[in-house]
Amino acid sequence: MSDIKKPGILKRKGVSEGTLNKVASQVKTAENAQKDKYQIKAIKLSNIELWENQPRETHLTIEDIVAGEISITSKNKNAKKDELKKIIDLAHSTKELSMLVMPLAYAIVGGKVMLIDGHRRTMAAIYSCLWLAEDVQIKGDINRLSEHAITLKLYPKKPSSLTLEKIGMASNALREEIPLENKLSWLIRHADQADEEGESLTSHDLSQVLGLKRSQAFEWMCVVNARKDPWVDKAIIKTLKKTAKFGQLVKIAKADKGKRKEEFDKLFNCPVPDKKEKIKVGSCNSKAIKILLTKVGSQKTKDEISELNLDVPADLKRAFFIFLDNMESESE
Amino acid sequence: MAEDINSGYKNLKVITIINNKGGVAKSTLSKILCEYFVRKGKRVLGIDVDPQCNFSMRFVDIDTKTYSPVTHPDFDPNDPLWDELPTPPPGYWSVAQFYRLGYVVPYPTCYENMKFIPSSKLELVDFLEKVEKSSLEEEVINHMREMLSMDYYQDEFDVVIVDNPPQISALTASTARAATHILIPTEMQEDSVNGMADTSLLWQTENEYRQDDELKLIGIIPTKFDKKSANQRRVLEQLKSNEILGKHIIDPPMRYLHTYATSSATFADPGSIFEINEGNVALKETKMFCDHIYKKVFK
Repeated sequence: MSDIKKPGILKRKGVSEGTLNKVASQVKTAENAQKDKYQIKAIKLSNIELWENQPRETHLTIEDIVAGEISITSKNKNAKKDELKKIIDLAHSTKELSMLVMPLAYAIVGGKVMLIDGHRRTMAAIYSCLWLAEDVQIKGDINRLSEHAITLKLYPKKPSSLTLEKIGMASNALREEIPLENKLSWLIRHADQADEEGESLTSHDLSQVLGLKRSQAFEWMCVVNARKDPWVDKAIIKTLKKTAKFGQLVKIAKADKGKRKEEFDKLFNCPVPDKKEKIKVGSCNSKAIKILLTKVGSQKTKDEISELNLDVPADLKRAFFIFLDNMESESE
Repeated sequence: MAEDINSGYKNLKVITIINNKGGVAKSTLSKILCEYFVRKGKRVLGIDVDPQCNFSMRFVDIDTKTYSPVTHPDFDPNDPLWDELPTPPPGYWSVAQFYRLGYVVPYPTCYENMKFIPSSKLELVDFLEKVEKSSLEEEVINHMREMLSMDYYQDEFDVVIVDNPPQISALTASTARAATHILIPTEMQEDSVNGMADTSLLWQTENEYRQDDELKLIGIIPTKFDKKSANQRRVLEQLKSNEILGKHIIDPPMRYLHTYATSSATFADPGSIFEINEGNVALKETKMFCDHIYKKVFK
């Protein structure tokens, strides 16, 4: 029986890995086609739309820039005057140093572009073109806007809301030191939004958007990845309320899943230490403590501290401990 | 930089069904989607770009010798409008005239709220050859969207279903440009799955061109699925477990396509899958699939 040669069974292997990978990679490329890529382009100032909707925090309009001054009948004229002054200062410095950071925009119909970031810089460029340039013959001549261009980073279409938010955050991070709580709150919100859209954040994103170093970005990623754990969530809330340090949050996020509660308790719910260790006698309190010891202290206390020099901080501290101990035992 | 190619669309949805591998049930899916949308009260236009005319034959009388549609019931040879066309119309209207003349009158169908622009085998093949030899490709690619942007199509229809030939050509690219949604059917075997790569490339190219309103993938629908076949089960499992492809797979796969094909044949009785008795498993499956597409497109 065992000598009979049997044919083998053909094992069905499905689609080859090569085909599957080729199709998957092409689908992935198609999914992300041109969503978030930008080109660097020179765009005529007349083709730049500053806002989709005029933001509330900015009062200055393009007409104010063209006019080069604020009309006395203008609504919000004081705020506008202040804003225009800053734009003019920026225009002078841009004229001297050129525009150091390119504004960002995306293409809209009719060859125009809509600004995403760099509104003040663009307004300064428009002011400079109309009022400051050496070849200006008629001040405020609007026709000049169709003859002069600035260089922009230009997206071929409106970037996704995730990208827009990243751009906003990165732009703020460049301008100012953002408080840790704001960064953390943005990050959690952004990570949730990315999850909903089937995307995921990377440490590379964080270093680019928040300006973090690589090692820092990895720590932030630990928090992002563990944010749905109840103990990490509690620590995030404490950090946002400034009742926990970011380092403590990272420590809990980095801990093994089963040990996060323990770590949380160790950091935040540990028993109150012996009050003797907690007592600190600041120099500014010494006078008050001396009065307390001599006026309120019992005879026993006074006897025990009689040999101590209360002008020496170490002795005063010791005397205060004796006072507290005696108070405690007497009250019992 | 592309112009705003979507400026002419109001609420019209255009679904193009593409896979450059033949026999994956593009025409059958086109037919049942048309019938389902009609039953949902939508005003439907079917367009057949496949010279094989299978989609056309379900809704319009096709001369089986010439594979051209019969003369349009409303055709008037003395209409002064014909003077404005580059060449006189033959009396029937097919997708070849749609491209060549920039004018067709869609055919009425057995459904009151559905019209149809049929294919014409010889004319379409001839037209494609001429396009390939000339520098007209870009014009052809933009043509269908320009046509469908016209008030007539925008006002008269809610949804257009386009069936494609099993190849990637200027005509297929044209339907992708016109489309708001793309549906990719595939059999559970190597060639059909492989065909999805070129279809995805077309999808990518289209989205790179567009500024707004990206071409949306409805999904990848596994068709002619035979659950007794170990290989097909394996392929389906591979696709579903793939991180990228898995999320696009429409589940469950379609198993009863032979029933659809039979029921939608020219002289079939009943003439539609939707006229089969309610308890039929093929009907249940069809409704489930069509409802999935309907929700994706009209949500």
